[in-house]
Amino acid sequence: MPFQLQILAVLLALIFFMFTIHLIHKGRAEVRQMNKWLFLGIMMLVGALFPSLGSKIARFFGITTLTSLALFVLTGFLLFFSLSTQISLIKKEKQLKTLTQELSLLKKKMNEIDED
Amino acid sequence: MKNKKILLIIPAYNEAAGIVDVIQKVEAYRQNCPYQLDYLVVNDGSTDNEEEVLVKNKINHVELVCNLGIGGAVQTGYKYALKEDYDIAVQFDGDGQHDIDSLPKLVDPILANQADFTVGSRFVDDSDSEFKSSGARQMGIKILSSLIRLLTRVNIKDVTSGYRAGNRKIIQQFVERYPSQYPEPESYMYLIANRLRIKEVGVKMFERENGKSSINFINSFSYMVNVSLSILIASLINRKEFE
Repeated sequence: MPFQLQILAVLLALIFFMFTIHLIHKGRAEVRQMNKWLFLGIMMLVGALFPSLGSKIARFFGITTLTSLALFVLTGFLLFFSLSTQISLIKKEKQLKTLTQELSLLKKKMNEIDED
Repeated sequence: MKNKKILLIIPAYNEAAGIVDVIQKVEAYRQNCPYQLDYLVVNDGSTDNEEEVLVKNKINHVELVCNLGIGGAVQTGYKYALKEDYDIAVQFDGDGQHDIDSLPKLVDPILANQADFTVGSRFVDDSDSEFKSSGARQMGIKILSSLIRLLTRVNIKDVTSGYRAGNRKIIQQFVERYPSQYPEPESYMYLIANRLRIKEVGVKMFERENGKSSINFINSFSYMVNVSLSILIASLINRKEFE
């Protein structure tokens, strides 16, 4: 990996990692919500600091360059994250629907009691 | 027949202009019908003055605190039916499309224990409905009906009809699971998987008096794709899931 590219990769990985830590530190997110992003940040850092390790892994899997391996792994991760986020949204939507229904029925009951 | 409690579930979204007429017809029918019939309008978070109209006219209703779409609104009615111990729940459109005089055709087979669920149809022989929907829509209905028949060997001609009635088993099932969007065709798959008896009966329907359909020309393609996929995936439901 060219030295300039390595510096850029380390910087990007560091910014990403620091940003996730910052979100937790400021209370905008919890560790359990950010653990996969923290893990990804660590992987990016290790990959950027020790490119030879990444190259060995790439060769092991028959991938010619480290950049291709990084793209392949990142795409896989992002697909997985995107699907899990969608599942989580669907779950929240269902919870919100139940809440709306129960609240509306309760509100009707309350109005009826008030009228009596 | 008076000992069985029947609830009309009337979902209404932005139907301020026509809901009073619909309820007046229902009220007139209630006075002389042989059933213990109640109704519940589900105001699906309307943005017009529907709530004001409902309150002013003392129409029994529940106002959803936010818009849930047709599936969520109808399911709210089923939840109410279950909580208030109704024996039969009937879905009835708030836009004046359904003929209240056809109600016995839906309710009687359930009361006689010939069916768990009845579907009001425009396309069976005993239907006296002059309104049959547009040619394109009829084509879409035929495709969905054929798909359900192919997967389940159950023939339901008017799969998108929203004029339907169900007994307590149905109420219980729809409280637990009811599709959010375009619910009618998909819901048959759950009923069939649950081995519930479905009967299609001829009813009269009218062209909508007010408001507009939730399915327009632009989204009709995505409607067909989504509903067909829902039916295909629902066909994988293990019958044991319901046992």
